[in-house]
Amino acid sequence: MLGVRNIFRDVFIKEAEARYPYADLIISYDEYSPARLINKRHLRDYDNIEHALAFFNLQVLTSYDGDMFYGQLFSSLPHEFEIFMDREISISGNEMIITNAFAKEKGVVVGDSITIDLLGKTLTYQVSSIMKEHAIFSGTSFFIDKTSLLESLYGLSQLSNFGNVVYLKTTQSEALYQALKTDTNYQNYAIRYAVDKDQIEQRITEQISMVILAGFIVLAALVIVLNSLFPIVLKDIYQEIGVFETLGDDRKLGYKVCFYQWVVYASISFVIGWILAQIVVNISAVIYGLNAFLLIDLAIVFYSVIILFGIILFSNFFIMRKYYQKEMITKIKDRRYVLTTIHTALLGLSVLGLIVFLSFKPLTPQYNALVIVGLSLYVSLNLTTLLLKGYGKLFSKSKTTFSLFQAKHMGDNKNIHQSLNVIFIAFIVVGIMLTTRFFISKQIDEVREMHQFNFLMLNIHDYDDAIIDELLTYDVTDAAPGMFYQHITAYTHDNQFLVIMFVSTEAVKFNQFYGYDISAVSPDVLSLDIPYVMLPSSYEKVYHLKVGDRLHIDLSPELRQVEFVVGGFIPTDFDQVVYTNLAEKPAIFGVNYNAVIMNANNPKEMMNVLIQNFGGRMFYLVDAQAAVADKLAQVENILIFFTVLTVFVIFSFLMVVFNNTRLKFASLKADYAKIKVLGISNQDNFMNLAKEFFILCGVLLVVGTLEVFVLSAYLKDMLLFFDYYKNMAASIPGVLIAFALVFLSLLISYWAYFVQISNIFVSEEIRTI
Amino acid sequence: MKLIVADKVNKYYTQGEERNHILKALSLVVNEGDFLGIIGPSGSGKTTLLYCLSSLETIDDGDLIVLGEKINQYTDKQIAKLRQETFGFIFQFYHLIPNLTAYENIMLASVIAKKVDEAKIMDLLDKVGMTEYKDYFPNELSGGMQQRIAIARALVNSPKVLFADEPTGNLDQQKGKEIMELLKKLNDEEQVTIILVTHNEDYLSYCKQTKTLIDGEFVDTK
Repeated sequence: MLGVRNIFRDVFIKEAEARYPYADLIISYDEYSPARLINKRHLRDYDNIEHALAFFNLQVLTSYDGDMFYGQLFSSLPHEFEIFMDREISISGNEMIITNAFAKEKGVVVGDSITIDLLGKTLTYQVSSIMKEHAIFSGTSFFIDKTSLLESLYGLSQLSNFGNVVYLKTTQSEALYQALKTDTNYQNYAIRYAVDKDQIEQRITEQISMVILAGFIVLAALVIVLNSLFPIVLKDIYQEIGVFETLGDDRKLGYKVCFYQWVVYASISFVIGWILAQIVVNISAVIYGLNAFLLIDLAIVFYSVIILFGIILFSNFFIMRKYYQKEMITKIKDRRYVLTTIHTALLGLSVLGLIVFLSFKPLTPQYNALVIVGLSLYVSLNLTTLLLKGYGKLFSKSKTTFSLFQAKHMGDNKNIHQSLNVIFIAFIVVGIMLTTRFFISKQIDEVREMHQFNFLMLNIHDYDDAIIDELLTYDVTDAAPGMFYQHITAYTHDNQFLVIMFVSTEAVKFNQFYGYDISAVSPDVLSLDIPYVMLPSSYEKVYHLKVGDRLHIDLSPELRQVEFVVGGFIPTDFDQVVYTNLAEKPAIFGVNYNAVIMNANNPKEMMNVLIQNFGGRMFYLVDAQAAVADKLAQVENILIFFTVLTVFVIFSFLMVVFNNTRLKFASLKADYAKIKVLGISNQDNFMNLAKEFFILCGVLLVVGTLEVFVLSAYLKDMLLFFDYYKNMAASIPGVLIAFALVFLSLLISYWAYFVQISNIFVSEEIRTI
Repeated sequence: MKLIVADKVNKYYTQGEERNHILKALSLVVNEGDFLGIIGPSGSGKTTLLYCLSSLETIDDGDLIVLGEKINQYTDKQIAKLRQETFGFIFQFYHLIPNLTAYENIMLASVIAKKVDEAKIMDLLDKVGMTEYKDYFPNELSGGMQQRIAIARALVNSPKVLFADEPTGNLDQQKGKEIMELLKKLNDEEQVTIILVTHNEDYLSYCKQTKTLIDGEFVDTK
């Protein structure tokens, strides 16, 4: 769990490297680039460039055997494509190389003819080769020799240096990036890293902050689980240590014995744990779709060891110190179980603190949440103890075996209380993991429902109203001009953040197409001359923004630091879309429409019409539903990764519950043997255990549910530690499933507990006590 | 009246590949009011015999009859009933429940048998001389005191037979003698049948009948 951020970083980096193995930097054009063609000739001036591959990479209308579809055209000089594909190729002017995925999907074989429509021309090629997918040459992609393509389109063959995207391999990507940014030949193009680490960091924050937070809850839970193990495992050593003292131990041996014992346990656990963690991470990665081995960062492994040993040393020291305070002879003679204690003063202070923090919230939201979560966990754990003690007291006057044995143990046997703490924390962890999982899933559904438009036409560099008129002559039912920018950097007075989708169109259309309601713009803001932005509600918390605050946005290389005012917040969990009214007065701000959002009666047919009529103008057509599906596929993959981790964590905690019951049995085995000698029957034991089981479940359900609700109300504020916020709330199904899982696990444990008690070999036990 | 009849009882222990014959076709009759002492060296099988007679262990062969009923195939419920109503146990290491007070330890036996009689518990505490220690936990009592509580616990359900496994083995001579006198008194005055296992010949004088067990066989009966 400590390594999850690094693991995801590795996953995303490897994913990006797999997409662009032949490039470190990519030059393409953006919404405001004055030209659509990039000339790589000037790159010869840089001696740190290993290769520069100039490609035409376009979506084109493709036909095969009467079937029309969208294909990905890759076109370069053959030797560039060889570098791109990392293999030799052979192709002539009228030939085409396609991917094996393309061939499989459409049933194409070598020798077949495929037609493309580009810039108003229809060109036919013969499939000369079918190649295995490689990097971004995947799906319905195909390759055509650039010289022959340009000759067919323009009748020119001297444009070999041109392309709409240039892939650069360099030995010094950072230096080259900075140099190109200031190079007058390229500064107006979009230059980006093939493996963009800043973007990856943002993606990590967006997609896995909740996973990391859940991981910290698991870690906190593990501390409680480990803490519950120490007294049980050390119990038998206590008497022995008393004996050591009679032999002259200077009170160091006990520390050493316990410490070495734990070092041995921890070392074995560490090796097994590390191997298991590697397996889980790599299984998750395979399910995620990554074909690479992930190694958990050694530094993280080192920190895990330090934390594990730290907990051991700390607990060991305090338990032994307390134990050494007892009289030597008491240690040898006292075979009573360890009594549970409640630190009343500390509990009182915690309750008081909790009330104060819940009522007044004196700190920043994330620190308030941290204190509330910490205190509520402490109070809940003590509440379970208090409830059990209450049950114990309640039954203490009745004269039954249950009251004298089980109720007494439940009232004050520390092992039982620790065991309940473990079950409680398992319930919390499972509840939180499931709540998080359900929340991500719900979010995906919301985003899917949110985008209520079919197409987004981008890169309209020469927009005029005739485009809308033209669109409406086709099967388009509704179209609105606007602006659409991707990956805009916005600056507040103390922060900067990346906006993935910066959209401007009429507010009514935005509400209609995106399914929001942004009518509640502050009148003070509307009266200003500067454009306003409506931000996702999470930005209010993450970037401490409020209505009326100013922020600056780089819209293009020419339009930097344009001032905007915060007009309000959009109530959504999808925090990648920002609305602005920039498009209302384009002339004032010196910007032009560059996009059209539209709906059609028959989207599939309309796609072909749009490609045919606008593709040649190098407008970029986005199938909104496909794009959303693509974006969501990433999140869904994360969800799958998270689900694998969740299943593993849940399974681990259910094992902990099971194991803890076994330990409880081990600690009470002798007493059960004694009461069997006194004549208790298995039937009576069964009834008593059933009562104990249901009381534990009752306590668990009441306190655990309360705690899950407190945690899910405040954990979202703790996400702010990661500069992230999601309005996550407890999931009722999540809590119910968590309870059902823990209930089932406890039921199986108790059944095993009962079987073990029934099978106690009384005479052997009596002889060895 | 015959309380317990053991007829050609055999018991084996298997350790790894080795099968040890612990009780070799032992036969024995215990009558109501008997005080039977079984003596023998360590490893002779005397504790195993006691555990077999008292149903704490099962026998491999032979018959075991208690109050006229063969108990070899008794169910868990029947055995529990036998332990509640007919048998009482005291052990060398007392085996009190450490987290219950002296009083609660005695009470536990009576609640298991579902015949709680607090006056009787107080009476037994008085009989074993432990009334003033009734609220003490076992670890706060001496070995002799703990054994007295264990005796009171064994007697609280008025058993017909009291099985005593080395009850003085953990006590000094004086305390051991006190316990033996207490048992003798119970046998004489309350007609409690007692089967005592010990390796201390000095205590055989308290018994009405003695048997010497060596290597799983009775070699001498007095």
